[in-house]
Amino acid sequence: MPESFDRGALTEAVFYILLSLHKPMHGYAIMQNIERLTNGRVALGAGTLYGAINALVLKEWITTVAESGNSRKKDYIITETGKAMYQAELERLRELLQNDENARRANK
Amino acid sequence: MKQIIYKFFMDHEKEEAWINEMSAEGLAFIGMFCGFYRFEYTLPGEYVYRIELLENIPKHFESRKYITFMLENNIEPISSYNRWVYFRRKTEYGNFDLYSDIDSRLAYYRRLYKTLNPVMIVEFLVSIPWIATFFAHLLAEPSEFWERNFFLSCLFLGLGFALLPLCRSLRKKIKFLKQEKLLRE
Repeated sequence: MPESFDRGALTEAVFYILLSLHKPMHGYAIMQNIERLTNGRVALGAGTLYGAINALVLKEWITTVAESGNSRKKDYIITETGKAMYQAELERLRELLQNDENARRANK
Repeated sequence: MKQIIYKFFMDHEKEEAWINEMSAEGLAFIGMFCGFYRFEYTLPGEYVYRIELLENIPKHFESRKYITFMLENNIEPISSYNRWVYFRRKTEYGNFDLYSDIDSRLAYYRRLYKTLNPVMIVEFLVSIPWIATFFAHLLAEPSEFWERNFFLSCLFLGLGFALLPLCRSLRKKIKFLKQEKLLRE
């Protein structure tokens, strides 16, 4: 069977980008949103964001939105595939927390 | 109003630090040619600058896509030569970094190292024949070109040594990030 990459962790940057793109947003707004949500802890670099967005568009986890008003900035939005990946990641995070709680209870 | 300052840099990190120091004093960099840096007068600290080595020259379609993305993020490519681009952004838009996570920083440092390390090696290699002929002049045949040979050997050695600390620091950073990757994303 070929190696599976599907069940690994998403990077923090990708997780927060997917979270942000449940609404249409352009690059700078994504950066600001993530900084706000993490209280400045995650400050995405412009080059990092560019690479992540390109990779996500290639994998069809996000897609561009036809902008109406401001033609200077390209908006992105999460796709159904992206939503599924995001949900799988939430499950993985819940599993992490659950295992921690189980381990603590077992150690009491 | 403009000001021109001449400065020679081999190390782009030092160059970037200097340009940002000037910007903090109200001199915003707008262009460079052969070591002559042009500045315009602005409010102190109005702009932050970053220098980046692109994978391709700015005219390449991949570079143009990247530069368009930067413009959409209020980042202006103010000047360029070869594959080097000088980006700037107004400080009111917040902190400006190019690469913030391990993977993208590692990829960028590798790109820098792949470009700068061979240049440094070539500079050292090229200096060898000039050094050899200079010593031949000293030890055996007096040569009428010995001053030129001496000058050229010093020049290439100097250029090589100027890049050495940067290449060393890049190697260290790459090694550090590779180790960090074992622990975090």
